[in-house]
Amino acid sequence: MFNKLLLTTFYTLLEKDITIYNKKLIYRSIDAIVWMSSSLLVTHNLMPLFGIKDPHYGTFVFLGNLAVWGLFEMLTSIALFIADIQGDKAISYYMSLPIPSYLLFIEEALASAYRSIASSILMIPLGKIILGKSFIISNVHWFHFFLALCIINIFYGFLTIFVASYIPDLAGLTMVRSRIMFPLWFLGGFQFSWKMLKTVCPSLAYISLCNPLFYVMEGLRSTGLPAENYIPFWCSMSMLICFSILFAYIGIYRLKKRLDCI
Amino acid sequence: MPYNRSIQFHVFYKLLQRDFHVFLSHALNNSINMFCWVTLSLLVYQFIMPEMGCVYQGDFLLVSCVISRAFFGIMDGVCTIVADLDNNKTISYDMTLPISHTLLFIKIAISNAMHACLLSLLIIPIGKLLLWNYLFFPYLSISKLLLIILVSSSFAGFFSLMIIGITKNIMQIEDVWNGILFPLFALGGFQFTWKVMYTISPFLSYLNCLNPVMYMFEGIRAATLEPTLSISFWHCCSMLIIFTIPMAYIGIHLLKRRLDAI
Repeated sequence: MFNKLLLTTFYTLLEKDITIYNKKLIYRSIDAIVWMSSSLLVTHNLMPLFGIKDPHYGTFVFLGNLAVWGLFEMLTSIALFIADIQGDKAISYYMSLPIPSYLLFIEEALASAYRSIASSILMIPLGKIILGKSFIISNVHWFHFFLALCIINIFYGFLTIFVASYIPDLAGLTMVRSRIMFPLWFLGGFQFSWKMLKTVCPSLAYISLCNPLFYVMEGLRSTGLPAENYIPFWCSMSMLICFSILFAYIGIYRLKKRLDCI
Repeated sequence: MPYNRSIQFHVFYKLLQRDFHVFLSHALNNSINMFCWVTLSLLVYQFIMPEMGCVYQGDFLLVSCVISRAFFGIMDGVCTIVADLDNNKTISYDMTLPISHTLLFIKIAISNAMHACLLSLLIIPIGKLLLWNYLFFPYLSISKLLLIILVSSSFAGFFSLMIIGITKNIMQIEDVWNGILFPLFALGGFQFTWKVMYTISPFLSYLNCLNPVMYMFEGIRAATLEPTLSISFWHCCSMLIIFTIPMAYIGIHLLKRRLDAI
């Protein structure tokens, strides 16, 4: 009886967040499309003139863009969460509902994951249109691809909870962008693979294994590009699940303390 | 009754002075953020990207970083003002001071430009210190460099007024980043020159002449790198000044409408 009530509340809250976001989905999808187009047009058409000979480079960047989109959505989710804590405190009402507080934070993470998956879906056909023959659809292992997309975005959801637990106010978002998001992104293999980094600097490559963004990039790329050039798919996914559990645990613990939850 | 001109300029000067003190109190944090960003960008482009066959040199990227900072540096000011308009509206107090609203908005633009300009001046010395033996600027003209940073920052400052005018709340900041700033930046030539774009697609390169960020990148390359790489320096400066005028007009108009200013 209690479990059913709990699940209904959880599902209803998730549905509410999804409905609210769906009103903004078109605008956010346009942002994603604009971002993807400008980035891919440059890398696919202009970068070969700067010496890049890899015929798969366009697909490499396309999958990287798709993988990293959730990181940008993370900022929006953090802003929504912090603005609420600082302002209306609607979360206090949700905490009075018949649902444990940890489930409330898990719901926030899943809602965040939905936001990034939903807004990035249109990037897939767009990538094919821009890359044309360079992106071979039959080379993509679609089951792995969609599984990776879900695990990656759930990971971003828990990363959102984790980062939000450390941000005191909205002004702290600039710091998140410069000191967390950018280093994770830029050293996380957005422009190069882990194996390539290992040939340049093995010690940095091994240190980079602590950066979860590497597993995000490598995981998604291994579904559409020659798998031998990347960290094995299941290894990347397992590591992302481990990171998700870790971030969920720390993030929920810190938020419970911050919001005086039971 | 219109205020005495000397009083207006005195208030204008005092407000700018106040903003400068606020800037100084955040300068260390902002410098650390910038240091992280320049270091990571240089590391990736100087040492890792050549493994992919990329022919970038650190100097090419470092000067692009200067413009990136001058362009993106306005976003701290934009976020602060948009958050203020969302919540406390302390700007309402500034609007009661003996200064015309047009001059007040020009002050905001100059203040944002000043923040962007001062920090971007540090980038070349930081880059040189980091990669001493790898960076050479035989074509560097310091006066031209300072001039292009000043003109670019001024454009960015007035562009920030337009961004503030169209951003309804702090939640829309991510839309601005992904839908406006990033495409202008990526297509503006962070990673390529206009001449390279022209060899690929003359039509797109002419279309890109409408992108003011392109003149910022080309201008700084003309001032620091081999002049044959880019469009003429004076042409870039003139175009930026021409773009600044409509930006100022539109930005001030939008802000006046939003704040019911006189």
